Amino acid sequence: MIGTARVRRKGRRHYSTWELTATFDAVKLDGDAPNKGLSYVTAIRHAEDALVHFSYEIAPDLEPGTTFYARQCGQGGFILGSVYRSNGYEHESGTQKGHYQQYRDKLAEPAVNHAKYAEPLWGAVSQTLQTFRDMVQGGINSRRVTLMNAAGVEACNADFRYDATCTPGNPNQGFRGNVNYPPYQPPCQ
Amino acid sequence: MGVGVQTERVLDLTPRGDGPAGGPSTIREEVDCRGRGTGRIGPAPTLSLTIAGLDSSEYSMGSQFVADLRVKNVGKAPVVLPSVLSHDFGGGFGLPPHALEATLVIGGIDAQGREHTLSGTVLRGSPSRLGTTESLDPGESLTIRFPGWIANVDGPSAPVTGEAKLFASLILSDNECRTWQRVTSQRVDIRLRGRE
Repeated sequence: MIGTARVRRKGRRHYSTWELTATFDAVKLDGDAPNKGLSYVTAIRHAEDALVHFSYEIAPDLEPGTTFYARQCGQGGFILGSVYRSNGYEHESGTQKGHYQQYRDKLAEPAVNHAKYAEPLWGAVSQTLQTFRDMVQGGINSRRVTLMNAAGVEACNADFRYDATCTPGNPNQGFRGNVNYPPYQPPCQ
Repeated sequence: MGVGVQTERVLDLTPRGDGPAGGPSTIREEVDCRGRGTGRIGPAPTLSLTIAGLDSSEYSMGSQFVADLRVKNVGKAPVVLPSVLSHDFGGGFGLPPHALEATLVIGGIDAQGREHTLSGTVLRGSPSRLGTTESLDPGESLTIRFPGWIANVDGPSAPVTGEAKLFASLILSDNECRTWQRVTSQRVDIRLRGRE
């Protein structure tokens, strides 16, 4: 069943990327079966399909061991490096306000889930397998856009100074400190 | 004073040589977007989409229909649309040069207010392949004649019988892993025969 996605981590910048389409197999039944001539979707692939993945990238500077990370010292109003890093991961891949969670929530909706859409469909005897396939593909492509729109919503923790408790319109809620950019300021020099 | 007559440009998607009902189908070539997609969706193309005509005001699951969908360029630059059914485009879609895909979807909102995908198809084209695209200059329109099938749906996810709204949407994407927001038509009143 479609409902999960593989999460990969790459490294360079902050962002998430999704490729959310699904591939499927469809057949027109042959032989002496009572359903001879009807078309069905027999398989739909998602998580194990290389064409479908959810991945995200986090800037290497946010990782421990870098100068930038060390200069986020958690004092003098500056955020702590580990908190800043954690907020970044939560925003991209987290299960509270993360893009990944937004994607998962939308995918769980029966009207959007590829498998729940495709499973009950069948094509009439007089409908060619090709037109049945094209029809199913149209529905899948449409759901892909719906998923992309849902996953692309930027929550208030898109600013990594905020954690997932942030609340729109309340600038203090979830704020964990300012970022210390170069030239680094005391006391985090 | 001269009178100009503008002829309606029509893209007729009625299949030609579709083969027997049980004939083979072409496997659709996918684009491998691993590491190429941004995950973000682009703004909608500067197009308007209108249901210009339906061959009936009543449809049932499994029935055929013909919809005339008028696409108009409401922007200030030409817009290129793919114009052949994806299986007629053949292979090579995932490779350069640039190629486009358009997904046409017929949606419906049933008497219970639930939205359904009633039908759809996929077009592909590339400016480098003669006769596979249509270019719309600003203000120009093209009517796509789409003969399709209303989906048969088993079980509780099927639309219910009753008054319904039908609409169309158009989604453009390309072989460089870009996708643009859907353009949606107005809603048209129909009667839909689904599950009782």
